[in-house]
Amino acid sequence: MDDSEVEPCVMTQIKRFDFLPHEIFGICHVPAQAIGRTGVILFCPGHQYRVGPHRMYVKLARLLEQNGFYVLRVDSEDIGDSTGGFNCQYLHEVHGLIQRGKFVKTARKIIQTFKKEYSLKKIVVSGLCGGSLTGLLAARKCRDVDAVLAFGLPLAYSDVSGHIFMTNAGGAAPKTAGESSSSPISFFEKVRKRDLWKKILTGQINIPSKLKLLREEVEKKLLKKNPTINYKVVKALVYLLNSDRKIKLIFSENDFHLKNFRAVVDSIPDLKKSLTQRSGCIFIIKGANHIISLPEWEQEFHKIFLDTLRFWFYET
Amino acid sequence: MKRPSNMIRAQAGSRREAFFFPNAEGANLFGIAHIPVKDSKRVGVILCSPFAEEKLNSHRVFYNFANLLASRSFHVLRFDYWGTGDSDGDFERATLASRVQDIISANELFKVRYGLDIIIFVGLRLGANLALKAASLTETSYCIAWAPVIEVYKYFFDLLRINLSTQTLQFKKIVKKRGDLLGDLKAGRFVNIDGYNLTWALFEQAEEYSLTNILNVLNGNEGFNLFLVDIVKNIKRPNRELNQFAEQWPKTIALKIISLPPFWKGGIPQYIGCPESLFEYSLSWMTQKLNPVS
Repeated sequence: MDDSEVEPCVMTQIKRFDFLPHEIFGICHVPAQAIGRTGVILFCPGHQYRVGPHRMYVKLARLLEQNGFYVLRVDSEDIGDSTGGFNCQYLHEVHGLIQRGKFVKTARKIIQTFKKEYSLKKIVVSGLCGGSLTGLLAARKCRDVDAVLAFGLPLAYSDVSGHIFMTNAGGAAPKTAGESSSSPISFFEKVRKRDLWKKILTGQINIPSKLKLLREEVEKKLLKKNPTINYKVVKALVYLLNSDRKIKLIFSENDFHLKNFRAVVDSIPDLKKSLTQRSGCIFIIKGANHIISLPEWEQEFHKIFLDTLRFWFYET
Repeated sequence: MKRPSNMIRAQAGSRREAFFFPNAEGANLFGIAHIPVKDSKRVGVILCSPFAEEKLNSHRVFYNFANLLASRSFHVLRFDYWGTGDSDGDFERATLASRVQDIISANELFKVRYGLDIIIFVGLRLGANLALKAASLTETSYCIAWAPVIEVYKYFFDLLRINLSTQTLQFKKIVKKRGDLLGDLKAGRFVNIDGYNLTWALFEQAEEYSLTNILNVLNGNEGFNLFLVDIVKNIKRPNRELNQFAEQWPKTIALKIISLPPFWKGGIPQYIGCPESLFEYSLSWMTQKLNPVS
């Protein structure tokens, strides 16, 4: 078979970004008829790669492409087909790293390169869960971003009650952001436990990451902050809500991230005020779960996504 | 206990090519070839993905295994079946037969494009059954099956449970039991499993892809070699059926039981990107089998 038989598909281009030391991998959907030059970047959801659960990103990208938008589905370093690797034993550790902005630096480079390479005028960052968080944090620091369209944005850490600091060794799920402040955990009690030292001495625990967590926890306690709330994301959100940037937050009604979001909004007046001033920036898909798995939920999601983009860029 | 590295630090020994290539219907399939820099073997390995969300969950394991193999002078191809991953098509229109055809297309492309003499199929879960089926239709003599699905119909039937839990979320009760869902499928309707639409065509073809049926065909192929890997939680409680296959066909099948969390499943607390024991035993089997020809 000669090379002509394996030409890349015309409308779907394979992208590689050399951001040393990493090679970042993505797929760009190029519209046959671009309406304006708006690009949407879908950052990968948590530890999952650029396709997303039930190919959610592929289906969304095809829809946007058909409607004249450029779309980039991209793997951050350590994920999918990009180079690197997490040195983590548990998923909540991986999610904790992402929630602390592990991919933001790379995300900013991706935004700038994508905009330049396709001569785009407007950039929208988006993604599910960890992908929306990465996009939001990158938007806070990057003026190239015109809009944020986040779905299932997590405002609470996944790993603050990680197994090292937990009362039961099995590792129960973290509490809702609003609930946790009422039952602070004494780390000093944990440090006295034999099991913990056994784990440390046998290398079962990543000491630097746990020390980092401990430091953050102590800082939060000293500042009398709720240890489960991701203040970095809250600050970025408040900043963007008070800026001229466009922003839409889509949640699923049965997603625990919505429950967390409401609890955080209730506990932070600045955020509540900023959201009130931007009326209509939150949309809730009735009955839907975190991954928007049923076709009727997905249709509604597609509709609000597309309508929002059109309203932002082509009808105003 | 040693902390898992979750990454292969051997990428310097290989390069990658990503491309789209046509399947038998002319639709675009997405593939990534890992090419060894020092090419001492003319041996290629095709990695065959599992089904639905199991593919998503095991993506990084395939990536790392491909890197490892390429650093040991194997050519490796990872690709997406039609209707999955970055390939063209819709999931609900793909069948088991179309997936096998895609493996055959990938096999043809891979051999010719890189001038390879020998191809080894490696599959995980349902991907292992598909790889074995494709091997029975091609001249492929070497296969590795990681935790293959023994009864494919039962596997699909068990997946229907996911729909029941979505119903509970949606309606606060189960409106349709699994029997009703099968009725829907037979009537040509889709049944949604975590966002993937199952079809009756999958159930109809399932029997043909059960491990017993495929192995019965393959066992007649002279010189066929299979490395069967039983991945279990507790090594003292292995899978009886897989053991029976290995006892029945000792010349064809080598069995290894490995204790590992089921990394292809969502909802497990561990992050597993690089199951070292699985990689090591598989690589060691390949090297041992291919020594006379490399």
